[in-house]
Amino acid sequence: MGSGTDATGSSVVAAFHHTLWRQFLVVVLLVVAVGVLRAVLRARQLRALSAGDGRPALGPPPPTGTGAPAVRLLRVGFGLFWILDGILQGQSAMPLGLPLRVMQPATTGTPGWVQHLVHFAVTTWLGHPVTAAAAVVWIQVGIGLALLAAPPGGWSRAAGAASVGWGLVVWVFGEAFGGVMAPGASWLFGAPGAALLCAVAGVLIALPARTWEGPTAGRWLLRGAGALFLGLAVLQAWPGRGFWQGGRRGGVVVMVRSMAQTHQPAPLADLVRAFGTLAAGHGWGVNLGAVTAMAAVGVGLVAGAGRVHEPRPAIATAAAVAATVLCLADWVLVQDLGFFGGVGTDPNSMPVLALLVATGWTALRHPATATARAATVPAAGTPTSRRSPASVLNAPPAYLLRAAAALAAFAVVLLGAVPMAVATASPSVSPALTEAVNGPPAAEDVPAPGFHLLDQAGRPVSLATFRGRVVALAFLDPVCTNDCPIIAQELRMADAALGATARRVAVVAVATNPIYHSPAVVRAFDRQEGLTGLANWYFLSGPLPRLRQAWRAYGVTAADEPAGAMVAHSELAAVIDPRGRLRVILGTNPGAAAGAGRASFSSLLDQELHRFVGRP
Amino acid sequence: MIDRRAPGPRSRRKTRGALLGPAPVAVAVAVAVAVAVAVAVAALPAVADAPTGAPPIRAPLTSSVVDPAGRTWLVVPMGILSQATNTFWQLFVRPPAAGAGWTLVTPPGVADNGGLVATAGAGGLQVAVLPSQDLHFSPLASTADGGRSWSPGLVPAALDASPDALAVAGSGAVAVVDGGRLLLEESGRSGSWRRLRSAADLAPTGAAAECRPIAFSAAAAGPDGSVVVATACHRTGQAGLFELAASGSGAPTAIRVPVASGSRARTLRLVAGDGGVAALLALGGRRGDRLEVATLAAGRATVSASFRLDPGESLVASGSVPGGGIFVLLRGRRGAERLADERLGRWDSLPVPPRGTVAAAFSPGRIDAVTVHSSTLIDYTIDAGAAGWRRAQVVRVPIQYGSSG
Repeated sequence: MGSGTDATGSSVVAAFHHTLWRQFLVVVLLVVAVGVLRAVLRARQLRALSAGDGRPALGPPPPTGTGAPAVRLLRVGFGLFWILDGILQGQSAMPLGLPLRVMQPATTGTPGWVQHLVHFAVTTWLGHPVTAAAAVVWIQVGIGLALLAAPPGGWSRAAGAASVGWGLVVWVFGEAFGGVMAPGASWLFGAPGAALLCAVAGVLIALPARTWEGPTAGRWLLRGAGALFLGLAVLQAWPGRGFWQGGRRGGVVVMVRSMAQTHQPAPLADLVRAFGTLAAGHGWGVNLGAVTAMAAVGVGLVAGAGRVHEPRPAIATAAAVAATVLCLADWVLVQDLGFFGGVGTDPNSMPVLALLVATGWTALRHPATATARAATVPAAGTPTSRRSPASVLNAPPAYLLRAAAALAAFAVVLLGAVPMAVATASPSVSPALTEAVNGPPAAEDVPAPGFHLLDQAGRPVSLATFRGRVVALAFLDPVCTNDCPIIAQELRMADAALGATARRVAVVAVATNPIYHSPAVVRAFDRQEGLTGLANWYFLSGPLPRLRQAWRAYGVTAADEPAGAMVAHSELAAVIDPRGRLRVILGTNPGAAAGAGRASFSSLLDQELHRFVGRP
Repeated sequence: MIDRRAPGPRSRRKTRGALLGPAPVAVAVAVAVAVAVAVAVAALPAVADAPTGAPPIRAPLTSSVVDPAGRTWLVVPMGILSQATNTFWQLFVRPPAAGAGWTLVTPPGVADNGGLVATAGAGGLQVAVLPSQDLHFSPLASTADGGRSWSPGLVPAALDASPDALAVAGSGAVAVVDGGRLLLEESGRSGSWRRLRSAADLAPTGAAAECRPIAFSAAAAGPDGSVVVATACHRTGQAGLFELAASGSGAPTAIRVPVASGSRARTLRLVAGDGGVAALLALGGRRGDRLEVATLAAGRATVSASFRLDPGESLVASGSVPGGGIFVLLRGRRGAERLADERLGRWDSLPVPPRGTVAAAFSPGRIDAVTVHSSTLIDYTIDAGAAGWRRAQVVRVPIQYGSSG
């Protein structure tokens, strides 16, 4: 019955763009503020230096330097990754498409508790789709900027910690644990999830600088990556999971074909399709190749890391190159680069994994030296507590600029996070979702058509019965299996939100089924939906000719459908003011977000009812 | 300047490294394998729950029944059966006239993705629509003219997904609802239902003590307006069949069915016919899983010969046989179907039905086997004495895919 939710609903997209532009202006102001702050600090620094008495009063200088090469690689790589993620989150389809076309489908086949967890996130998102989508943009851009700009030391580690926290949020709620809880989890398709790998990278960035002295960190990183490849190779080789099967139903083929359907440049689509054809024809061979390559890379990384005193640089280099090639091959041939199609949220897991392997190799081959660390941390015996905030004036100009930029980057994170936190804490829900499905409410100002029907107790009721009250009038099929029970709950929520004013409102539904419309059936519906105790609830029924008259008067159609289908009827509601004038027509189709977004219509209806309650 | 913090951690790392040093590859591989095994095991599908000792066979809703006017009714699922909201149950009828074909008469006005339960009585046919999605009660439809017109009604609770959860009894009907916990009774054709009995009510009574009923599973019209009900029993060696008086008052009478000691029985079907009520029993025990039919008449139960089930065989459809008796359509592990019927205490096997048969119907002088391909129903029939089935009719059903969400 429902037409479904249009992920590119124009009203939502317009609101999303408007919000992004507004917040972008704030970001521009932040950039200007950074420049001003840096100029002010530099001026004070110069004054202090010219006075010749600044340094002792300001305490020791803050840590400077460039940090370990591996950490630099991580910060630049993952900084750019988060910024790209943030930009992708700015695509028009994100406010509705991300929860409905990415988050919800990601739970397919996962345990119930995972579905509940993600459902909670989807519901929260759909309550405020514009704010949520904009929040994700700025949080990710902010973290990326912080990683790129922060000077080594505490600033950099704070950016790493932010990456851990946000990576885990995305992994749990956005990726449903990266697919590892689903039966078809496979490295080829992105398990264990790009966001988890970003969180791992964040942990590495947040580690103390001394961790990166010597090759130990590199060894363990390569061993970890090797173990991951080996474990995923075992998972890929596990019998009964469909990966050894070719043909149209083969696990690899099904996924590759679904990837190929994503809108993308033709040469890329041709590559993915070609690989799908190969997997369909030689499913067993393709899987054997994948398993062998993953296992070989895993063994190579673990062996290359070597024992504690015996690194094997040649093996490590070869394995790191092989891992990178394998990741890139999978990225192009199976994951289709990951970010086309309007709701691609990131470039998928392969570049991220390759970057982690490269980081391990760099840490093994080019470890940080104690000299380098000395430049990034205070000297031993110099407790950080002795550094006053004003000690920043002792820092070189470049440090000042980076510290101010990092501060601004964290402000960008807050620019996204604070409005979302405020919206989530608020009891009201945005009507954006229902407007995306049904369009905005249509304003009217004509006498409302009358009707003469029976209420659920069998008493005669007409429009005049409700004179002096605002009427929310809906059309519900009492034996409908999906939309109407949801609409009834929305009506109930709207009524509850009215509070004491509910006594000046009548919530009225007209039975909209040419066959099942007796008082007994509407009473059964009331019991089912918990509406029996609602004082201002009226579910009207009556003889079919009178019902048809009421349907016609409000432009509602209801038709029997053959072969076990439910009655097809228009889904609309009307708001009638206390003088009996029809003021607003609203669509009530819950759309594809039926389960998750049921508060949106009630919020819109509540707004409309409040406009007329109390009018003469 | 001396870095006093640096040497400590480094020396501790060396010690740990020396301990782990000899076999890092083995450790890494072992961890990787353990993680992969854990994930793979967690991802395996859960094993369906089944009561201990009871045969796992269940009675699906796919069934056929012959009404007193000689019309044959067939309930069968169609559409995309792997998708609950695109599975639409259909009702077909065939008049008693020789050579007549099947006509689609599915009651309109309600989505029937949850299934249909049909019961025939002197007044015609009554069909209940099982709950699905957010609908939690069961709309009813009754016809007295062979499905040309339908009158709406309802059971004010969720009817059980059993082919005999609804029975025309006396002037009204009885319904097994709420997962078998309750038996409701409709008085006359008023549409008003009352609670007749709960399974918990039945448990402490004398007659039920031997069975210790768990839940109702089926109901059928008994003699003199009484109701015969089947319950699942806690105790082995019990069939769990009871007769309730017409008014619902008084203690239930246990119908004693000789079940081998130690066998666990489950009543799959209760079918009212000319010769009394026939109960199709699934029995499990040392002798393997088997089917028997207990015919209940004049307060006594006569039990048929046993019909042995192959391991893993499932019941695909069942129904009444004109003149008394029950037929079963079974599907083996390898997907092959077999059709058998019980009459007068004896089981007869019919020629192997066409591959993919999902339903069957026994009418006076005719047996049908039905295959379904999405929206198309193909009917095969077998002539008396013939060895093979012949294609008799193709019905295309205008299924409204996507209409249920």
